[in-house]
Amino acid sequence: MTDQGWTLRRRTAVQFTAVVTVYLLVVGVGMSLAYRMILASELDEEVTEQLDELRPSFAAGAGGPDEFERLVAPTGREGAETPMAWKAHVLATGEAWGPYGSPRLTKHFSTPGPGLGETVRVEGVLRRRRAAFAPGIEVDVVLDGTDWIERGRIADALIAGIVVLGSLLSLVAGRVFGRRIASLVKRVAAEVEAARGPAAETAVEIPGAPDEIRAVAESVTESLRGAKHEVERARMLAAGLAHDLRAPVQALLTSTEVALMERSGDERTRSMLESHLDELRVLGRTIDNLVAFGAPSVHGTEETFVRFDLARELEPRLRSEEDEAARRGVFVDVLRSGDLELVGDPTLLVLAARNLVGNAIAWSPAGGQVQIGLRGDAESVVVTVEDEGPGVPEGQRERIFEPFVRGDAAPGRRAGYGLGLAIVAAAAERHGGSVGVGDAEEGGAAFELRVPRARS
Amino acid sequence: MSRLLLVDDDPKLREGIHAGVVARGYECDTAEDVAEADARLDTATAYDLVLLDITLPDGSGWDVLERLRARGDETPVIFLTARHAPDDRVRGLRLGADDYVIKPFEFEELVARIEAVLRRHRPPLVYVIGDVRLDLTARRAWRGDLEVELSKREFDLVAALIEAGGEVLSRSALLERVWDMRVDPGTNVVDVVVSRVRKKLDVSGTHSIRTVVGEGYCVRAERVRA
Repeated sequence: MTDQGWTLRRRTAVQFTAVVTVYLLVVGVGMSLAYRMILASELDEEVTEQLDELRPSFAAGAGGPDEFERLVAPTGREGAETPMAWKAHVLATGEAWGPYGSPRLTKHFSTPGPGLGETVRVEGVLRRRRAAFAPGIEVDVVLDGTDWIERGRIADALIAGIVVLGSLLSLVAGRVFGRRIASLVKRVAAEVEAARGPAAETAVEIPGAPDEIRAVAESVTESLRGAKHEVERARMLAAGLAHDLRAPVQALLTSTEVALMERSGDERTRSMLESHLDELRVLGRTIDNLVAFGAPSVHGTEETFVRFDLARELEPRLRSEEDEAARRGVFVDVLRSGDLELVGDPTLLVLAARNLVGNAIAWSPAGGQVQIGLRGDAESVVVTVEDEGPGVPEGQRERIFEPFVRGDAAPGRRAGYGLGLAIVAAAAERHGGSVGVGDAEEGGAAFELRVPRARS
Repeated sequence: MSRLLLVDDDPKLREGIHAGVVARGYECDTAEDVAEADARLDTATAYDLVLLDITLPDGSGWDVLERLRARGDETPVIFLTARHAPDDRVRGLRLGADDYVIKPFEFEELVARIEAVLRRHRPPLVYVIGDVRLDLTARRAWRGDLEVELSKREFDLVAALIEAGGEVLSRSALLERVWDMRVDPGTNVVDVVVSRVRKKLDVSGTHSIRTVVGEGYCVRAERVRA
């Protein structure tokens, strides 16, 4: 995953942050509105409380307008938390005391007020109430709650701060969260990748992963197992078919060889039989390759390793290649040196070597030479096969070892089935060795198969 | 003339192998089960080699091999096994078999193995040319005390010339005897191989292969006791 793309990690982080921020905003606005409503209704209460506070003092005092003015004057001063304006009505005489207080508030007395015992809201932040104050006296009060309501602004700022802080925190949390999800998904991918290998048990295990991730992993495993099973079935089928084909082809090969040996028949019959033999051998080798390709030994699940001498196993089995070379006018020679004993799968290694030799003969011009080298050094046994054919172009030197990659057809032949060199590569891998191709001295291809003496 | 005993219960395979080895110049008797095999091996007829199938209708080829070795009979045995198991290989060789062929096999492979086993059981056939010594049975060559590594065809060429008993062999005769080629593809490979052999064997002045101008090559070797 690159940091440039729209990665799962980023997407998760951004989405998480956005959701948290929207949530915080909604909650914040709601809280702010609720707080304002609470403040407003508290302001309603405040008028009543102020009145209740002054009422006993007035009743205890001398009464009369001077006493009233003395009592209410402190509440009207500018700078008080809730400045008030007062006006008293003496019911018996119709006389009015006041108004007292800031003209800003007293101007409201010119409009008709609320009924007795009622509070009305004026311009949002003002409260006006008419109430009984003392026997025979009613008061009209205006209370200014501007500063009071101001407290709501502070709360708003606080809430806004919390929202910003919260979304910043959610950004961090989102990144952590995103990274965790991404790493879980990466682990699923890694486990699935590991489970794809032929030798591994097909079971994706992610300890400590959440159920959903495990469910994904399990369903991937399930389909992987299915696919693997199908591939295995197809391979077994191919190998089984090839195995069944081997016996009749064997019988044809032997009878054709024996017929040719009897040295009877005219030249035309002989050359026809020889061409049959050629075709049968190609068919036989293809079948061998198919069987080997489907055999568990190529894929490393069956123990088929024994100690053996490569030359002793290989040389008798090169007879048909040598026969073919003789008919095509190709000179095959084998030079062995050193100790050629090793621990490995003889069938597989012999088939690999025969594939290399068969290829070299097929690509050789008439009169060309194929040099087979069997060399034992301290750690490995090395098979080299050099020919005088056209060689392998640089760009194809790795690709030709992949299964079902069909090279060009050798002159006068059909292209192979792309299995021969794949078997060589599989044999090398199975034995912990290597195979490669370069240029021979004479310009043809030089293949080298290197097999360690014993598996490390 | 080598005499073979072929023990196999598959009549088609028996017939095919029999026809093939007879065409190759061997004498060949056949047996289809353990009883017949034991009977044939018990008679005075000496076989040079036994081709022994493992799975037989009335028993196992292992038993035949075991009884043979228990009698002190060292006749070489190549066992034929359809089984792929490496155990068979190990078991057969431990019981004293000389080689094994896994069925299905190519006839040429069987012939090559028969020839190799027979060669190993033949007494050494040693020839000397100057300071060069060649064992045609073991296919090994020495210059003085030093072993010389000859390639398969280099050895085949010297051996063909030795077996010709000093007679001159032409290039085309050598092509046929060494490479089994009846048509000359028009190269100088014979000369190239001759010069490679000389380079390896004639280090201290020995003339191993002589050129007969206009005719071919010859070798004058002397057979010695091993």
